[in-house]
Amino acid sequence: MQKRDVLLRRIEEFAERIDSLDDTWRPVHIPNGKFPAMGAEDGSYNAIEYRSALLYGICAEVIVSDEGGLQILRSGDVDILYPYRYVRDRLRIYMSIFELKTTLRALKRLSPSILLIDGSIISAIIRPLPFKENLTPDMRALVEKKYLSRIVRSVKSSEEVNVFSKELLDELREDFGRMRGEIIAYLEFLENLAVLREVLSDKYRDKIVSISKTSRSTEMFNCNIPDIAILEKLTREEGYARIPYIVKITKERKRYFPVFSEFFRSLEFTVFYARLKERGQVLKFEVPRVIDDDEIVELLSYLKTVSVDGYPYLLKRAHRDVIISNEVMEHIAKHIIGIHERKGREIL
Amino acid sequence: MNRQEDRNSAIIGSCIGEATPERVTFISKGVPKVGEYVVLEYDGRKVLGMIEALVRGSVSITEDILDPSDVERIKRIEGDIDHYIKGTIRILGDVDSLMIPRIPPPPGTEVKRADDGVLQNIFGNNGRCVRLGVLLNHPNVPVYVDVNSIISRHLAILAITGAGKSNTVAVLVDGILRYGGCVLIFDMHSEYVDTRFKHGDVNPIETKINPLYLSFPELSKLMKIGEKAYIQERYLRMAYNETRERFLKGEISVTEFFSSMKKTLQEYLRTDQYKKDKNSIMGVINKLDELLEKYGFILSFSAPDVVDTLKLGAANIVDLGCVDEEVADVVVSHFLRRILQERKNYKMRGEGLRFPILIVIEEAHILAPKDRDTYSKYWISRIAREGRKFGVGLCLVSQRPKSLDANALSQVNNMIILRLVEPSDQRHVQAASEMLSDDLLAQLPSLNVGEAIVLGLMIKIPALVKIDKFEGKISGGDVDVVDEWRRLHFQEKDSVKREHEELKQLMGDW
Repeated sequence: MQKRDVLLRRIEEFAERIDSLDDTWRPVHIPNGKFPAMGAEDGSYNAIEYRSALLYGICAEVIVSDEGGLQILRSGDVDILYPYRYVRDRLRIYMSIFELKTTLRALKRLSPSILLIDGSIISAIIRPLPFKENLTPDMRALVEKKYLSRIVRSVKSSEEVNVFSKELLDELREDFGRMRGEIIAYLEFLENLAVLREVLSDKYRDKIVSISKTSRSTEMFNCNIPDIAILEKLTREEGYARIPYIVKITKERKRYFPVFSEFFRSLEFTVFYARLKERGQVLKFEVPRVIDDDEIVELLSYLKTVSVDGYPYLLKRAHRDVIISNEVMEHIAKHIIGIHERKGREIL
Repeated sequence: MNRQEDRNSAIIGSCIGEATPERVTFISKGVPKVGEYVVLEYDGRKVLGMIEALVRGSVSITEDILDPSDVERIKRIEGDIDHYIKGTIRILGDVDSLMIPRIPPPPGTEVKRADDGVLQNIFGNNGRCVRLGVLLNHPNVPVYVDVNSIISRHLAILAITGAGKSNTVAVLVDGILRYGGCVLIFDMHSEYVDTRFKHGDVNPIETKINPLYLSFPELSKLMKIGEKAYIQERYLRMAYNETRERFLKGEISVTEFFSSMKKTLQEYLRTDQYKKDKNSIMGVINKLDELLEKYGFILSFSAPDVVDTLKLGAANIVDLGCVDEEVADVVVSHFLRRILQERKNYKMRGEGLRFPILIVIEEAHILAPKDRDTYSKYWISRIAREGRKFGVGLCLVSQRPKSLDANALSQVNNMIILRLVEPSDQRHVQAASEMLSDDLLAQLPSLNVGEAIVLGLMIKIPALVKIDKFEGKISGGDVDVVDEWRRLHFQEKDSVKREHEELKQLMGDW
């Protein structure tokens, strides 16, 4: 490895560019707070691609803990997708719908004071629609007019955890014929936005906190390496650093929302990085409301109470529970469903 | 509880993963115990198995946690920690025939706790059995072992000191006495002499050997003629044969045997022909004197043949607590040789020892050690090989199995293994017994006093057994030192007080 020294030097150079955090990082001793009724959600998916179809499995879980122990809500699905384009994007949306619907169910049934969402909720809101070029404005208008209200109704009234849009496939055939593949993917995208809107509605917004272990955001230091990496490198103690403005979903962040634009544009996020344990990992927090420094410390104290090794245990546990391994997928395919399709890779 | 609930409570888990006809892994929702018997029903058959190993873990409290306070936090968050129990089941065979099925159980097969009725059928008494105890994990199921198999295929009782060997021997002996059987115990520590058996008497046998029944090698050993002292051995043999001949001709009486032998040796000293071996002959004379001085008390020309001292329906006990190991070796080998010989005589000619016998050899590692030859070892091996045909059974009892002759141990087809801690002991036992699996072996250090793994031909399937407590009286076991000191101390105080009072009375008002 002749390039070894060069590469190591380049990593060092990045770190050397910022040698002081000035007042950005606020070291505070985070006290252990009271034991809150806290929930955490996570989800996962896995899939096997055959030549003629794709078998997928989705699992989502919300765990709520209070002094009485754990309550777990779990949902999942195993189904087939035909190899249209964008299957991976669609699976991500499916997983998001399952996660958010399970979260809604937990918010309704288990009433946690705080509900932790794994990953960035802002990223979930601004996730682009990957297949819009195939849809004409007329098609979109028809979809929004004819089907959106049913999706919204289903999200609001039903506690069933599913991808409701899939139930509309037969009707789409009549309206869109061969284009129904793209149309249903568009409907699923809208359904995800509808569930997001419900989770972030006034009713539940105060309970939601999203936590990311990794982030590529550079808003704070405007440097070539992510803010989270800089904070990780230059701090050790417990504390936090907040982005000094309230984050909104501006046109720069997301140019266009096909639906619910007014709602999403109105949202305000307090974004900060924090370390819950000395020498522990720096995490990124997004809170969908405006909170001051005292509230940040209070929130961190609750989180510290339920953290293990500087990371909220419930998120860790939910993450562990929802993993769908390749072995499990193979088992479902071969032994439970009995699929013996070719994948096209057998000759390798 | 209705039938469905009853059925559910019997289910303790399900088989998972790949299985063989002999072993299967299972995951449990309850807390089963090692040694517990289970039933698997598949392919139209009911198969019995035993839980050989268990692992209990938690997916939450894992080994990568480095901070103890993290464990406390997880416990607080999770409430009841979710744990899993995984284990392996050794398949023992079809419930009715105990034949190992040729097909492994499929994954998902329910694992049910075996009901007492099934187990009572397997471990019950066929009319030729002795009750040993109860199944450790099924206390309602008594365990019986087959006496015929013990006599014909021998038995080893192995354990560390204090694990319950003597109690096990006593329970077994008492059970045999119930059938009017005959047991001979070589009691190395005078443990059994005062034992009271419920079903038979104790017949203490004096540690006396009639020199007339001694074979020449036995005499030589008793006189401590070394194996390489072939010159001394030659003169001893010559003197012994000449004296024996004179005795048989009636020229000397029985009580003159040793003095006559000494005279013969002294004559050799005066003979020119043997002049060159003067020192060796002197050595033999000295050893003869030493024999009479040291062991004269066990040699008696009036003692009956050892075989004639054995009583049927009694525990015949040879107390070896007062002799050293070499003498014990001679005494034991003498008994073993005579018993085997007389049982052969009886079987072949109808004359000799009439009844089958179980011979219990305590501290078998001393009499049949692995690293040196003893006379007993030779006869133990002979009986281990030939005893089956003549109704002579061996029961080797040892607290140091690793020092026990592997050849002797491997001839033993039945084992009662109580607590064994040392890995070298465990390996030695396992090497001698193909019946002892790794998983069963792993249980040995964790057995409590009186708990044993019982395996071999005397029992249909291996079992973890809680041995019954012997109901009679046994004098073995550890000495209560503090109690003895305290008793003596009070005795002494009492006696001082008495003397003081006597003195006071004697002195009066003076």
